[in-house]
Amino acid sequence: MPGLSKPIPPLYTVYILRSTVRHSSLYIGSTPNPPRRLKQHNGDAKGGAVRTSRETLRPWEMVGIVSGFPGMVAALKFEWALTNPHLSLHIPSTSRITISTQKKRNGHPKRPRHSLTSIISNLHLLLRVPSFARWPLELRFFAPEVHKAWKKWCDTANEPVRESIPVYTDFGPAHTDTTADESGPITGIDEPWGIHALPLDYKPLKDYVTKTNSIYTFEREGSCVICREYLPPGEGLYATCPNTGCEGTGHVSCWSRHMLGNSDEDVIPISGQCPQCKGKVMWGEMMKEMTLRVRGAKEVDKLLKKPRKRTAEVAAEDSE
Amino acid sequence: MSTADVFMSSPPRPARFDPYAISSSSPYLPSIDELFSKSQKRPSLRSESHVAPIPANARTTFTSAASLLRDAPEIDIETEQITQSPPRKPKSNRGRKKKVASPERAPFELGDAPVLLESVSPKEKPWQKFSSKSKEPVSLDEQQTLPKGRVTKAIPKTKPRRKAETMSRHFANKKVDAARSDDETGRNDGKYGETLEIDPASISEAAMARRGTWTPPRPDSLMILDSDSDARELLSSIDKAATSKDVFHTLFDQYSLKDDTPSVGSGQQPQAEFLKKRKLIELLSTTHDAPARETSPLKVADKTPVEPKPKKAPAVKKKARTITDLAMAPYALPIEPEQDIPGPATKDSLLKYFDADGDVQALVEHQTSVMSQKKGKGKATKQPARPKRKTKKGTVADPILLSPSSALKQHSNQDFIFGTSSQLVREESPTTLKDLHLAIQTSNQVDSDPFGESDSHGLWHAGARDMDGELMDLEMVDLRQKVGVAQEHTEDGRALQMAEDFVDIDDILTSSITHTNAAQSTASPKPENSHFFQSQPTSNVVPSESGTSESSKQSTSKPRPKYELFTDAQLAKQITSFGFKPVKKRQAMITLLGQCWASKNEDQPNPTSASSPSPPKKQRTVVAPTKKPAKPRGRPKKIANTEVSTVVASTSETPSPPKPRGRPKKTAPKAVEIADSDMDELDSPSPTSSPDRIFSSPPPVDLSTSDEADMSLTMSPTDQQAHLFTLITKSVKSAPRSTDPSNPSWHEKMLLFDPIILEDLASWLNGGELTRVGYDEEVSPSDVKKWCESKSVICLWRANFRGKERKRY
Repeated sequence: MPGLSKPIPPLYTVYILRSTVRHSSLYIGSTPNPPRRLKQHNGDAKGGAVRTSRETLRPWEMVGIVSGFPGMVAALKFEWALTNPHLSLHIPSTSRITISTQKKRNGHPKRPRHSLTSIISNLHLLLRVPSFARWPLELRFFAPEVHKAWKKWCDTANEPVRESIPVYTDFGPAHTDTTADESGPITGIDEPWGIHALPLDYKPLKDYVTKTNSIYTFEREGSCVICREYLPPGEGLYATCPNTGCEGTGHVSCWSRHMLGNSDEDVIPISGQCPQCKGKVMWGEMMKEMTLRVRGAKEVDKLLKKPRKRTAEVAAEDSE
Repeated sequence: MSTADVFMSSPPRPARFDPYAISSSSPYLPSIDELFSKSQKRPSLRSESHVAPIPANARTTFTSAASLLRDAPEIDIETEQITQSPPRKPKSNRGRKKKVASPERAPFELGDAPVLLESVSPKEKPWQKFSSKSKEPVSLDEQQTLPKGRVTKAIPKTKPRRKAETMSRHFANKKVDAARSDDETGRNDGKYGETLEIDPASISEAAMARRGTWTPPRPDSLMILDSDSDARELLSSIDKAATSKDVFHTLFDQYSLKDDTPSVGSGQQPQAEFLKKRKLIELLSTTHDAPARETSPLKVADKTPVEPKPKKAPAVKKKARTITDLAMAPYALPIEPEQDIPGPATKDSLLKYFDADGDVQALVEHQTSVMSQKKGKGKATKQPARPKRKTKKGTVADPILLSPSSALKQHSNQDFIFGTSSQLVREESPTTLKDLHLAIQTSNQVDSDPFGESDSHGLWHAGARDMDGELMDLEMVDLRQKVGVAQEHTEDGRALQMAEDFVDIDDILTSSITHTNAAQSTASPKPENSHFFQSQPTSNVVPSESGTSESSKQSTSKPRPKYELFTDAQLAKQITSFGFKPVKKRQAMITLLGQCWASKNEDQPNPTSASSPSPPKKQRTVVAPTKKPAKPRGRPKKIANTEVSTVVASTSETPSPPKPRGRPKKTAPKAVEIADSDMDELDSPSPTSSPDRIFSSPPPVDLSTSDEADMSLTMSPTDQQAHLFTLITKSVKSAPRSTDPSNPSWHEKMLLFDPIILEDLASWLNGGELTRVGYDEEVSPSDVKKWCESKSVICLWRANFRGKERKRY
């Protein structure tokens, strides 16, 4: 494992693909690069899924995306569970929505046909399931009807999704809706929207990474903001508050303990408050930065090189 | 030879007599009007008919022998032309019939026969059949007396008796059919007679009954025989039908007579004559027709019937006529030298024929047929034939024989020949099984005749060749059946020997198969033997009573099915029945089924059968698929392996395959626990190697169960599990954080959203962390999985779905 470990990818998504020709044709997939994957589905690039190869159903569009997966494994797990809600063991039998009524030739239960409602309901369910409930996931809807279906299901569902899961909508130029994604540098009208506006690299973390890079490069970790112990440089996993201007650093375990609060049962925190700046801290974001810093030296260099080239001033400001 | 000749001579005779009568009756009967029209002319012919019957007796004897000889060789030689053989027989029959009535006059002469019958001339013994029918209307007593007279006659006696014996089986069905037909026809006939009022009820009814009886059976019998595809069969069937008809006619006639006598006391001779004549005519025509069916011209057939007279002619030249004499002369002469002549003639003809064909095997077969006729060797052919009859294996046997030699296949005629010979032998074979055994021995021993040698050995070799060929399966089945039959007839020890012989052949076949399989599977010869023995008990040993330990096994538990003989589809079904996912490789399926069977039947004495050191590789292949079926995700696989390895290590028993087979299921349940405990010992799996993997097949099932358990646990963790989970959480959290960023602790990995390898985590927990927290028991990876999933911790099995180490996380 150690040698194979990689930083948390900047983006990994499970997407809901819908045929623009026939909206009842739906497909679920996962990809770290939705635009590229969409090209594949539409036949513009090699590697499309067979199920989406029918020319009469093309072009396809991604109407919804679950992002924030900490890795391929997590995304694939979620994708499979969402594709096979009738089989997934992550879904408690008592709360299973999709139940297969037919069997395939090999005896396995046959998957009921996808419908927008079934996918949305199962997505809603999976986001509440213990296996995935604490993952740093985000929801993005690029089609109004899908978002409507989501909201409708949220109203009907007997159990709400945890509020900490952000839901974004981007219906494109035609629909003037807010893209709440702060990290996205999308501001112009001509800017791409939907999946094309998604950040495929660590750019959103640039400021964060720049800050931490300066801290750890110059060994200014100081002492743990939680346990107050001294943080010997390079001798442990230290996380730094992502909030701008806050350099609160501490042991990962301390951060987790702090953010989990009194709940001894939970292991993975979702969000919490920085003890130093009192700002809100998202665990997923912090871990993404930390893994990038610890395991993705190349990516960090790549991320930080360009800014340096562009403006030495910026770097100087940051350093200041 | 003498015995064989006697046997041979006897059957054809009855056939000759009967077929004519039968054939004649059926076609003519329907046309009643014609009969009436013809009846007027009959009286003149009657006188002529009287002359004919006298020579008939002598002719019958001579003709029978000649016909026998002729028939057999003819068939052999003319195998291609089946039609020829039947006409010859009809000729003989015709001759006899003609004896009653002059052949040329035949249609009218037939009418004469009834007259004779009315007169009850003793001379017309051959006619008695007809006479009895005709007489029936007159009086029951006469009819009864007449059949008795038949019995007294040497020729008729021998024929009917033999026929009855040999043909009884066939007759039973035919008789039933004939009886039904007779009843129906008789009723109809009776109606006609009443309406017409012309015929005296007695005579007319008798005739009608005859018609009814005759007509339906012939077409049916003929058709059936035709379907059988053997010309000899046709002939035999005709004979059989005739004999059966005779019996039925007599019986039926008696019944009919009773009915007739009350209805009409006085039978009008002319009408009766018409009917009789018509019948006679019909007989002639039918005789012609029967051949005509095979041979085109009816008229020619009419002339041919004259031939029988020429046969008689050598004995009595008076009756010999131009055409008939000419035709019959060549046949008649050889009659006496039949035994010697037919053989060589047939051989020459066969040689020429086959030389043209260029098929040695065909020659062999023909020779065998000839040999059977000439010598006791024919008995050998009989042996296979009888079992076929008993079990209806003959049909199967024929294709087998054909298949071995591709040349035989090419010539359909050859096939017919083979079948016919066997059938003929069957007819004659009423003798005991001893004859068969003797014939087999003789056939094996006979070296005197080059052909005979080739025949005896050739046939068996051909069978072996077949065995070597693709037909192995079919042959195997046949052998089993044969063996079973032999057991049934265990009266003679030889039967057992036969069975053994068959077994040997099977063994050879099986051994070859196993060898091939073994070669593919890289198995050592030992495994082959094991398979061989296994296969034997099921097929041969079981029936032969010779089963030793295997037989005991069988008694206690069902014998291990021959999975080697199963088709892929069947194997797949079997595997699915055991709950495993279908396996692609046939070998793997077989081995897996073997294991399943062994485990199913408990350990018992399997080691002998199952003990095959080679299987491990096969088992390996099997194992992988089995794991998959358990749970498609493939996570369990590695666990299974580790579990297996641990189990093996604990047991530390010799890797001998036998044990693994029996154990797998038993170990399966335990394996999970052991595996859990042993998770720490991940190092062990490599040394365990193949034998361990053999055991792995069961684990998948366990895994599936574990998954199910996981389901329930995740859904509603029990108190125990809740406690365990808290402990795990505590231990994970309380573990000291690592000082190496590149090697985070488990807790840190989880916090970093690193995929957690369940086996590793379980082993770490079991390595002292849980005890540190106060939990003395060990945790299984599946429990760890549940815990991880309950905590939103990303977890993985070490192995990916394909059972290989993951390269990416």
